[in-house]
Amino acid sequence: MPIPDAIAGAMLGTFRAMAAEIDAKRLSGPAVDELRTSLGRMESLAQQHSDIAAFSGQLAQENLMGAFGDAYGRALSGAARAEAAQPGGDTKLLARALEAYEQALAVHRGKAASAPLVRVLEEILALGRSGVSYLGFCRELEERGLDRALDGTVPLTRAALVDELGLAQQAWDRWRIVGAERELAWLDAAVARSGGAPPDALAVTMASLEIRHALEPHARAWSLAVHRWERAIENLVDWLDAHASFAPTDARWAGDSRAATEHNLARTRAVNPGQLAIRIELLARSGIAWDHLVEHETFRWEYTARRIGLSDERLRLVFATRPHAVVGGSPPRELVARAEELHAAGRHVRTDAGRAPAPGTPLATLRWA
Amino acid sequence: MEELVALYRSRVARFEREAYAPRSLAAARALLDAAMRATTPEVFHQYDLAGHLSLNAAIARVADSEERRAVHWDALGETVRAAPHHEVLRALASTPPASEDALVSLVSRIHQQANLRIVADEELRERAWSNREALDEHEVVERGEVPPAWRSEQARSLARKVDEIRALFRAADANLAAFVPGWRPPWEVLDAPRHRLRLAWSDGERVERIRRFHAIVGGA
Repeated sequence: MPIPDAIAGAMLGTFRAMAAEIDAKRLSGPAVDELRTSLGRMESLAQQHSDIAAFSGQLAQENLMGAFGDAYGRALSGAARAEAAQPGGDTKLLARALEAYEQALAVHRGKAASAPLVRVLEEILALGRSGVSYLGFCRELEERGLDRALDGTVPLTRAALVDELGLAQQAWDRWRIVGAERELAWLDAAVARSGGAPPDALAVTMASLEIRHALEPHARAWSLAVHRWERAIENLVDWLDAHASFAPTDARWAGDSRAATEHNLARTRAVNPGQLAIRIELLARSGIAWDHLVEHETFRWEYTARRIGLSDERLRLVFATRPHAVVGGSPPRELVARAEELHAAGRHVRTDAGRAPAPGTPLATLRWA
Repeated sequence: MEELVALYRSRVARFEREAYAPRSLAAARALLDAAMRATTPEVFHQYDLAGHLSLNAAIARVADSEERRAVHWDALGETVRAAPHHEVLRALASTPPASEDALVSLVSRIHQQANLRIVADEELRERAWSNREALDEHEVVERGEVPPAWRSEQARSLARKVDEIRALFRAADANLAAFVPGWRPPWEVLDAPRHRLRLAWSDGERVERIRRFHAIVGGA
């Protein structure tokens, strides 16, 4: 059974349209033949396969889309070269180029973020319409650095980085902030070094990749550490609450029957302490000692960003519970009573949780009293 | 002809400013030299050896750009990403393309073939990392001490976690195998510097995680 028409159409539609465009232009030659062969093979595979993953896998293995794109590019560039070689070819090349810049301008005009790009495009179009020859146009682009201003998209990159930094600060995203700050610092230094000329696109891309590459392990270690202590805290909250009077009606343990709920409660009481020991070990592998958790930067950051949903009172109760969470053990009665009291008064949750403070707010942490 | 000379002169000046384009600079100088010696476009065409110098300039631009990318990925220890750039440089040096079309085809063919290897390589790392929490949970259930009455239930819970992880891998492996025939996760590759640097596990924990992946999902 072939790939369904709708799916084959979605996957091959672009290529069919490109082949139709070549037909409409009445182009021919070896590149056009290659392009048809590639499309023909794609169509035939769509008939042979029924599994979409296998179909797209074979397209990739035979590099059919790549071969098609390559032949398509050669067919069009061959036609353009033939046209340029005719009398008046330079005039046509200039007209083509201006047409493309006009289309780009139409896309970007009116967008606030594109303002620097629009200025460059307008300057290029004014130059192209000043009566200059095609060669003169190319030279002026290079001399005025206009091609680089487009290619490097540096004005856009800087505006985008400033936006990115603002968003990262709003989101209290530690490593995104550092990344945006470093990229901005690199860009400003590069512009300063070259006397105000923008660095080329490849330099910007590579610097950005290097910065993100260097930060990625830190960001990943950070998120894993946060996950690990969140799960350890959750383990202790559940363990203490499983002993409280409200537990049998709490959604965390709700089963299909009363017996099932009781079983769930008994499991938490019995199993959590042994698992907590492993969670604390995992946390140590992330470089955090449980007893010093509240001083750790990841905790202070999340606490200040108000992403910890528990109130200070409840967090203090978590730390007080820890020494009692041993296999076969139970929490002291007064800790259970505190949990019941906080729960009844709704004081177990942090009231401003989820509402991030202003960017740059100094880091705070849980105080013991 | 003055226009052509002016164009090449400005191009030479630009490459002189850019320290990273030595081949492009040499090729642009050759074109400038031919344009300065020629009195008419026809003579220039002869000096250009019917487009040979222009083609050399195009090859030089590509080679300079590929070299910068190769150096960049090498510096980051990303050998799989650096490989196609080195391959393009070797191919350009051994058999220079005879036309601009051939140049474009050569570069795109090498990069397209490399893309599958890059995807498979990085897929391994990202899949390993995206299972970090699942592996934590697996270890917590496996090693957490429980009272004897709860042991059989915990064993069932562990078996469920294994099934969940395996199911995720089966689907993803089937997809990847469609692109890379016979693909099985080669976990030890995670020890290569390019992966080691970007995974946030300590060395000891990474070794333990690779062992755990083998135990749960198997591998190449």
